[in-house]
Amino acid sequence: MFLSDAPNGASFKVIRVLIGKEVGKRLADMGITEGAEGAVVRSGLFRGPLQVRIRGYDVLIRRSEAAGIEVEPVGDWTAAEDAGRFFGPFGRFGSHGHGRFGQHGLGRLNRHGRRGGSERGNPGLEAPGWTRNTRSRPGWGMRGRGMQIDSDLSPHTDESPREDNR
Amino acid sequence: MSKRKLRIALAGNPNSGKTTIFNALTGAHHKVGNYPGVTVEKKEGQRIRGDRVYHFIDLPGIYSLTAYSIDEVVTRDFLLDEKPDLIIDVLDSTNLERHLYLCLQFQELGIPVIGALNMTDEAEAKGIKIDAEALSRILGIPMVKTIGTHGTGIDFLLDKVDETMEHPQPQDRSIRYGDEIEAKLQRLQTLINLDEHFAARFPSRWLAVKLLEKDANAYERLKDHSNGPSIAAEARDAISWLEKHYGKDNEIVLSEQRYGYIRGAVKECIKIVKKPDFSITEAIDRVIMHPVLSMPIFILVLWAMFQITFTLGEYPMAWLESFFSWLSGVLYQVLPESGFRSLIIDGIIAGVGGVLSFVPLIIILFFLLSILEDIGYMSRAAFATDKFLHTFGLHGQSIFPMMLGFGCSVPAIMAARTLKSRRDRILTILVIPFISCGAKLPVYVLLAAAFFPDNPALIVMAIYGIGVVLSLVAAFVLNRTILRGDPTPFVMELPPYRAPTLRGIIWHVWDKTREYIKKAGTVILAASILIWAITTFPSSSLPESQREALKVSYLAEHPESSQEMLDQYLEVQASEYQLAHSLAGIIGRTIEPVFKPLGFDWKIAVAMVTGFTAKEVIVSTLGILYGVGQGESEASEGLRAALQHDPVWNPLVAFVLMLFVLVIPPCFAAQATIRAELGWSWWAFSVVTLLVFGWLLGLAVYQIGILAGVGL
Repeated sequence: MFLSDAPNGASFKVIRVLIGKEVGKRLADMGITEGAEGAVVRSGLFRGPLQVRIRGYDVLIRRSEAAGIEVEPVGDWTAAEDAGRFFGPFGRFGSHGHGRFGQHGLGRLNRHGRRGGSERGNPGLEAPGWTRNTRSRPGWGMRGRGMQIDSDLSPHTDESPREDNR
Repeated sequence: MSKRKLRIALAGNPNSGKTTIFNALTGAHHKVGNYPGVTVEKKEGQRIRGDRVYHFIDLPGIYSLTAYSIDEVVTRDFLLDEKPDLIIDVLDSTNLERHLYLCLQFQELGIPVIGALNMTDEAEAKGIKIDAEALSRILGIPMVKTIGTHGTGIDFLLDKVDETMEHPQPQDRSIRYGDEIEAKLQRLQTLINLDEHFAARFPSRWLAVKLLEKDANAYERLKDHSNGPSIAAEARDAISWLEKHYGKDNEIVLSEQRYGYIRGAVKECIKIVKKPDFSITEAIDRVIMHPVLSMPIFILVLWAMFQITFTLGEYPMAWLESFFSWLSGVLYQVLPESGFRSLIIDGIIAGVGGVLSFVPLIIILFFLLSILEDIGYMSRAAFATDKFLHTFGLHGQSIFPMMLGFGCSVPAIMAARTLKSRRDRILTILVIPFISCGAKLPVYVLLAAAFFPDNPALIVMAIYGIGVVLSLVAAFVLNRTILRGDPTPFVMELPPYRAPTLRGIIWHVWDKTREYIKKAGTVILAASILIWAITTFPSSSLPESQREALKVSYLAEHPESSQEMLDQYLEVQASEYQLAHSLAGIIGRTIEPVFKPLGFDWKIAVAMVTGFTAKEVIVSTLGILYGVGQGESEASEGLRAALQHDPVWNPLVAFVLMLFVLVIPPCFAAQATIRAELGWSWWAFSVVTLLVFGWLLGLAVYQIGILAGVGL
């Protein structure tokens, strides 16, 4: 799963940064490194930039750069997404950073995995949080990235995006 | 007894309050300059205490010493090549984790470092408790709590400076990167230390780390010596081994190690007492950065900025203008009639005075802009506009320079400095000329009123709109051709809102204004003299026979006119004759064939030649050429009627001319600014492409118009 797919209010943990060279280094300098935990505060219209809270400060990341950051959901993204939707654009997203919409979040009562994998015939996606985000569309600079979710559960193969960025 | 002078570099992340610390340290004694070869501001100041002179150099705010942006290059080169005695690293106490990342890199440079834990008041308000002693013990450098805005902790900071100078810090106090990396670092450091050439120049630890980080500049520095290639080869081997070992890019591994180290330090030294339930920044951002509202709010901010600038600026501008006309009047009386008087009044005062009367606008515009920047609105604006601009290859931050272009291209081009990547800067500056500046408006108004009397405002707006579209198209095309390269990353800190300090803003405004005035005094002065010369020489006066003929015909047409009116008429005719036979007139006639396919005659060609310096001049040149006098403005009935009666003109020609004026290179002041920001070659590129494109566009529109039978 990639940061670009994260809904507003979603908490995440960085698995790794798949963009190499300058951008990857820049992201690392800004504190987006393996294991770092953060939350998406909000995002711009029409898949505009994301505002991400990480290491105690806020950073804006364009969607195409976010598409190169592999993350692991912390808590329930679907719930976060629903909460964001329920409260509308002024919704109560992320004022406390991490985990706001995690297990203690407002969306706890939502049906877990409502749009889960089984609906799509992917029983492998049952694990908590690994529900496919319906909002995810292929990102700008990373066309088709959103379609790789299934294979991303397994260790990276040679076709992993890491290679095309080298 | 001579005082001991210490050179101290002030460094840190952007938004760390570095400037407030600098001001608190140095008082009013500033010297502002540029770093050699680049347009990055260099601020220096001094403080004398006891028998010591502390000389402070304010380095640009950076996130890392990797040298991707100009600011980072400047900082790195300064620290490596000028070797200051000490670095004061200003850290934001509310955001220590990321700020310490840079601190660790400073520690590798072999220069003593002192950390200033700034904004401790804000941190306390947020419930962040920092154990400065413990942090200082872990990192091995003194840590001093400061509040830059109140000047708190400054004396203590200086005490620590004295202390550090007397008891040098241990050399080897940088962090450990883990056994595998350390083994490679040790090997590289040994190799570097064995080479006297490198050992004398660079801190071996720093160079070894940078080599493993694949820093291009570090490899560049190795090149100039015979041992370099072997060290570089050793480093490359080490990198490929480490990358295989860790399974990721080596520079990322090093960053992770640093953050891991910091995480540990922060856990031990920082306690968060309470989490605030309510943050003002968050509350404001819910509106300002609202997905839907952010864009209209941004437009509103811009609109307000322009309203304030132009309504407030109108008065001082009018004062300056009347001052210069008064000055011309006085000089006209005082000086004897001569070429010199004409040079002073028609050349220098008209040219330089015209440019200087824009100074109030510049001051107000930059005052407002600095406030927006200091508050932290710029990154919010970039958030709102990046999606749209990125489609055309521009960066979210390009929006402010481009919008300023509607006012005046000069501050717009200067404002492009806020863009960190050179590519974005070049792209933004190259498309700014398409944004119609205030000086082009009189030309549009004159032509629209004369040839589109039904709906002049619509035509003017259409021209503005075409300009905006062209700027986006130009960005798109440049982005796909000569300025290709990697898309610039949009990874930008979103700082919390902070109150601006008046002092900082005044400095900023003064700096920009000074530059603008300097330009008026040099480039504009030269250009004004040149234009004056080509319109004045070779001097020729109306032949007596022609004069008589004009007199007779005028009296026949206006039988009841007074002697005064006749004289005025003849004077205008004389200046028209003079201009037609001057060098400018000759140039106009010579280049007329070039403009013929666009429907322009030699008079328009002359106006284009003089208008090359400044677009306002086009109207006054046409005024002279059409014999209605120089003082005529765009609203003048006389010039409008004269144009309407000339068979050369028709709505099509007027429209083509408006397009041409829109596209051709900006005024000399703006061109000089482009040259100063980007250098001669980009200046030449800009001027040539704009000329060629303007001509082709005019040609296409005119010829298509003729074929379609428009305007005839």
